[in-house]
Amino acid sequence: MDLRRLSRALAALSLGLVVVSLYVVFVRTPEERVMGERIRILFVHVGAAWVAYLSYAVTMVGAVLFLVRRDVRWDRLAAASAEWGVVLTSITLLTGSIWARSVNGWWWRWDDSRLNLTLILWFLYVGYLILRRALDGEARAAVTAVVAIAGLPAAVLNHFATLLFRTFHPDPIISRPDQAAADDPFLWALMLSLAAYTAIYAWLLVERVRVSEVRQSVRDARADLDGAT
Amino acid sequence: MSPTTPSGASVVKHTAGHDDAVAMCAVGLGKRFEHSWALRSVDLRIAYGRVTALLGPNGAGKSTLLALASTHLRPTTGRLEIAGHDAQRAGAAVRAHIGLVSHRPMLYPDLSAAENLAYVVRMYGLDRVEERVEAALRDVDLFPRRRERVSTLSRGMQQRLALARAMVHTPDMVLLDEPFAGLDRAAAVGLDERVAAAAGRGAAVLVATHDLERAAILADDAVILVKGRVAWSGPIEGTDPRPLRRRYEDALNVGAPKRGIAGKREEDLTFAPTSPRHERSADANRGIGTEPAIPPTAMQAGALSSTNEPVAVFRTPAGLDDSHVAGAPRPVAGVLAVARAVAAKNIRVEWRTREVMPSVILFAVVSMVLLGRALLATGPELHRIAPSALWISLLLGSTLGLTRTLSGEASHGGLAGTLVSPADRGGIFLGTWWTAWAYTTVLGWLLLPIAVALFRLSPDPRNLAAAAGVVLLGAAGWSAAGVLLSAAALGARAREILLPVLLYPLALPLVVPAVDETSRLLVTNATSEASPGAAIVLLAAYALIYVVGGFLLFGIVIDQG
Repeated sequence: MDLRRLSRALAALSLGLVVVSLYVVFVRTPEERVMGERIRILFVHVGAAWVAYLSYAVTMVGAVLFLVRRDVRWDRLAAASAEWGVVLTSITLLTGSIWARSVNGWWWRWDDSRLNLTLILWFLYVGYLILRRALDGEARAAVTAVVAIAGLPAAVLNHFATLLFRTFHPDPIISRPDQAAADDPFLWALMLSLAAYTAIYAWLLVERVRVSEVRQSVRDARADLDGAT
Repeated sequence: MSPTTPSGASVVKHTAGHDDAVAMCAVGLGKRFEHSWALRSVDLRIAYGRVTALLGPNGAGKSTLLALASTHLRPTTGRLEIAGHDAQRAGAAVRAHIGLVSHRPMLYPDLSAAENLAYVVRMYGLDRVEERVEAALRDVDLFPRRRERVSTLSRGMQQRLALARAMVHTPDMVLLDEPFAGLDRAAAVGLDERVAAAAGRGAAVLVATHDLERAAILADDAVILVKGRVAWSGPIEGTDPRPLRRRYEDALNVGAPKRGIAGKREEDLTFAPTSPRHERSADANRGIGTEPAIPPTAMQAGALSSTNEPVAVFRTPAGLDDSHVAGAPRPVAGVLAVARAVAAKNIRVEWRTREVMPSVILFAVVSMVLLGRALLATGPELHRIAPSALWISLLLGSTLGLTRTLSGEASHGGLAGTLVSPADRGGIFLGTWWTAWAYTTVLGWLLLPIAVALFRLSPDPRNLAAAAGVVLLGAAGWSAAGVLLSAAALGARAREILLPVLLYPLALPLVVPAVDETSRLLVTNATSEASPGAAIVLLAAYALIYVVGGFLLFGIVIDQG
């Protein structure tokens, strides 16, 4: 598939969705009864969190497929997704803390399973990227793929550990469709926000993969030139 | 009389005479590191029963070629087959056929000569360990020094022992990377003779060296690499080093060709069935050699090929002990045997050096005291912070040990010696994990009574025993994750700092149930009949996942690291 063409299509889609979602979130959505204007933080927070988890899943898939097929393109996908994962996880933690402080009066709680899950994801992403910088050559792809895979059980088990022992977090509304009304303006705004985030993530992911490929081409050309002299 | 090497050894250029028998065949072989090519488009064949000198200036690609042949590196382009096995796809099978002598002896300095060789024999899955070790030691005249630690042996003795290590499984192909570096004359003499003897029994010998005089006398064929390409290759005429030196200087002056050999057409490159060594030097065969005359066709095996497909016929030379030939999946017993050998070696080394445990124990105790003192200042009741301080100290201390787990072996080359064998990587993981698990558990058990005393706990003895069980279970998963990630960090820059960065996020799901259960047992003094609850299930799941995952994934990271 032509990545340049795909990137342009995703960029156009992202732009459209961002404009529409910003309009809906900030103009069409009313204030929430209890939280007031602070509800709008959640549209940023939930969208970022969703894509942060998605990017970890993409990193995992890229890592597994690299180990199975030994095709460096899967490694590039995994790395690109991890880079955006760090950004999105940071946005999630930051906006979550700001929201919690404004609504509940605290920045952080250790007994919140999803806060812990997001934090552990952030650590895993950052460790993965530091390791990539510390390794050279072909070892980098294989070793970091294993590290990405090794992180998943920790994230899942940590989620269960926090759920089993202590937990605090608002229940998810999207996973309980019976309680979500179809004409709920908050739900529509949230769905639009999720779609915009997903499109932006896909666009940036493709762009990052493209940059990696161009970089590799330059490296190849340089190595060939060195070999020819 | 037979020719002598510059060091004075009397050697014979051998050819055991295995028609068309090719030990190693490279086709379009290339290896690129991050920014440059170390090898480009190398086509090469190495024959059984012959010594091939690999020549070239520093940076020419000699060590890279040997690293590819020993499966330490993976080719970027082309194909490399050794003893009929693809070096990339059948690494274990290839490793079973090769013996490698590197710049470093690849031995464990704190094991004796005999213990080192016994360990290697077990890594190759061979039987009659003592018999093989004794034969190998006698072969290199080190049997009287068999009980001495390697660190006390001279450089020459260590190199002889390294050769014994490389030969103990009777490899079909012997790879030597600058083996004469740092050797005195007597040691070099012994090495010359043993290289010739290996070729004499039919093994292919590929020796990278800068010593043209030694190469002219010792080797049957030469390959000159310049800037990663084969600049010249062919049989060495006579024992006079001057023609070879002229070839070498010509190759350097002309530089590496873009294709083929400098100044020659490719179709000229296939070696004609030239007169074999014994005909060129009749004196040579009257020396120490006892091998049969070389059939002319044997030289064909040294031919270059300009085609893309290997046409070589791979065959194990007659008379070689091929009981070591591996490659098929090992049975469980084989994996466990490797694990036992690795664990026994680790514990023996630690017992002798006490390099890790004393520092780890002291560090963990100091950490616990610091934590206790610091947390006390925040106001909670002293005894309530005991489980947290215990587990954090245990994790911090064991991380210190895990950092040394593989990097210590890597620093002196012992790990490289382990990895050049076909030993099952899962078995190596299990052995390393058993050791790390034992150390972490012992550390935890030592910290338990100290925590009881420091934090003024008064647990029921049965609860204390149950807490020891929690430590055992928690340590299992933690050390498995630690061994896997220490292998991942092994090839990285600043690996000592990197391991905690990678490992501590994985500790979060361990800390929560472990502290909770320890607290239940030691602080609230639950009765031992009480249900252990979800904590034990989570700790067991953690251990199971990381032990199985480590067993399956360890080979990927350790062979890349």
